Amino acid sequence: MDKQLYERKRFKPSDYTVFLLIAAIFLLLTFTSDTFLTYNNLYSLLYGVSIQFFAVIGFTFLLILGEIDLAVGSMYGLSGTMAGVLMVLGKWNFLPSVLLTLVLCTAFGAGVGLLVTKLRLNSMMVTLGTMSLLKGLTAVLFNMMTANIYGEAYRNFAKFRIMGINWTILAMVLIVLVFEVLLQKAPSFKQLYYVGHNEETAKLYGIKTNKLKVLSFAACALTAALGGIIATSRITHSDILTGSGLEFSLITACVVGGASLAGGRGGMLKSAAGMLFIALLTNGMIIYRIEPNLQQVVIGIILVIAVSIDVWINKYKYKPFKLLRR
Amino acid sequence: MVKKAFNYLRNQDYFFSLLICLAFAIALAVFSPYFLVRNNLDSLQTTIAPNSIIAIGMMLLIILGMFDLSVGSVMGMSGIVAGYVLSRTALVQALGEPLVVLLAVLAGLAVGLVVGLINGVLVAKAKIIPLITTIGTMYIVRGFAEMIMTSETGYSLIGFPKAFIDFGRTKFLGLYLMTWVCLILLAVFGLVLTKTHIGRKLYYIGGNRSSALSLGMNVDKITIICFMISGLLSSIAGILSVSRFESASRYLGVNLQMDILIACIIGGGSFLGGKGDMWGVFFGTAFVALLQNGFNLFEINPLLKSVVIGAVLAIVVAVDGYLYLQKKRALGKV
Repeated sequence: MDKQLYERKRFKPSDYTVFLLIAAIFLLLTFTSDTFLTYNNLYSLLYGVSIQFFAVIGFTFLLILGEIDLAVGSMYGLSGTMAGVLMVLGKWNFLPSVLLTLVLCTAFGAGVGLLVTKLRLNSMMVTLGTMSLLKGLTAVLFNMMTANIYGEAYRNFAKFRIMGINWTILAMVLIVLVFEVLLQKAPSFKQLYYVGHNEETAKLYGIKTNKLKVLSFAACALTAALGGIIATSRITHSDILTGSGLEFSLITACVVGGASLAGGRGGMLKSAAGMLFIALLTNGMIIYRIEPNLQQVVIGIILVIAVSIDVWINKYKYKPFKLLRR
Repeated sequence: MVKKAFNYLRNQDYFFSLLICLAFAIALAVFSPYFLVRNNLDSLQTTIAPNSIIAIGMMLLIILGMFDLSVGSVMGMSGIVAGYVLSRTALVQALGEPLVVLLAVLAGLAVGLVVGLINGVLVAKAKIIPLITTIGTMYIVRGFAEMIMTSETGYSLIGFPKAFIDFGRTKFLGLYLMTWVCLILLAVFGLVLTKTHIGRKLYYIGGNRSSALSLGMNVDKITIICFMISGLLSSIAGILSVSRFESASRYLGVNLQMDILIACIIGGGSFLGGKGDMWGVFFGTAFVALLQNGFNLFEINPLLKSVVIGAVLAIVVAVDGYLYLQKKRALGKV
């Protein structure tokens, strides 16, 4: 125990790399481009991050637990379309349709969590299936209501401003602060780290691991759905490409931010910083007119490098195929 | 005799896929007048043959307890690379048709080998879990393929040499040549898996990795080789598809990895490794192909296909896990 405490206090490069990376890319873009350091560019960058950030909240909990939800991008895409179908075709009001969407998505996430815990499945494989399932559902719903611009109330949802700043940015700052403190200090949130570190021991100490996992899966689905609704509200209509490949950039963001796929590491601030890093990178590539397809390639390469470094740093405790084996 | 044969079949891993495949084929034959028509059976071949070839490589990895999601992208990319070489008219005039076809095939196969090598080294040496590695290479290879196909070069991939197209068109005993290639590969890999020392090693590593390591098996080397075989077979499937469809399409192999994974798991493989055989590969891919064929024959909304595929994968994973849990409970380990 003493040794572990000691190790916790030690300087870990992966804790700070993401901030160094952000500083480096920020300085690079500032000096090499005229359009980067303008208020409009930075504001729209932050606004974009703040919307995608919602999806990373629950995802971070899952990564800390050592589980993963690959359907997060599909959920992000489905929720906006589903709320739109309820409003446009079902003639529902704004609030009930959004609430029903959130409830349904959360229930779906909880169902996945139950499946994973009760049958002791590998969450990666289950969510690979649900990813395809949800994508198909989105396509079906999307075809029912092509080229429909959503109602006024829905469109204004993402645009609502407090003191001239979009509420999503303020919400992101608040959520980062609250959850960072909770994850560091609150006993119920610290349990996530214990389970991620060593599930068997956590069980022996009386932590209800299954309950935690189901709740985290539900939280992941809920936050992803909320992010998707805000994203569709921003672009004023449903888009089939919303959230495609998001799970990929979320994993990259979290791992760059110091989370480990083996579980037990990561945090809300670091995940947000990882998202910011990816957004800055994409922004830089857009400024330099690099093709969208090549951008995907670059992010893929960064993911692989980040995971390699993660494995290299955590060598002493990382079991190579932990996620594949139950 | 019949009972003995049935009992034998019932104990095989592929029994479930054989049953479900037969049931589906009979149902389609009974309920649709267009199922047992020459054209439909031909188009079924062009789905089953490349998918089976890819599924062979996937099954080898599943036996090892891993999988490869980059197969669809590799298939598309090798098709594009082969198509690029084939459509250089200057090259055809300079070297002659046979040499260019050979060159194109080699270039296509090189794509699969290189991607397979990268996957294998990242999984075995860098110890990155297969899912992250192969999702990464899936996006990377697909990104490059899209880049080629959306640029000027994308429009020039037409006008292949006649010998290449004829290969896709020729039939022997009512089956396309690509189907024969598939059957031969299935037979070869089936024999390797059941009869040779190397084949049995795969089951051993998949069944118990740590004891395989302590027995001194070179697990890393075998992993890398299996990933390379998987890439190579995906390339073969891509080149065969290009020769059959007479064009390199950017949609070749998109989202194919799902179909292949489901086929392998239905065919008796398990994500935990140590299970699976080549009969299962064939019946599994045949089942997925029949499922898609059913969608077309009954004119069901094609968008629902990925819903069904995803649901089937989730159910199959759940059942796989449930059976495993039961086995463990019977042994008193849980």
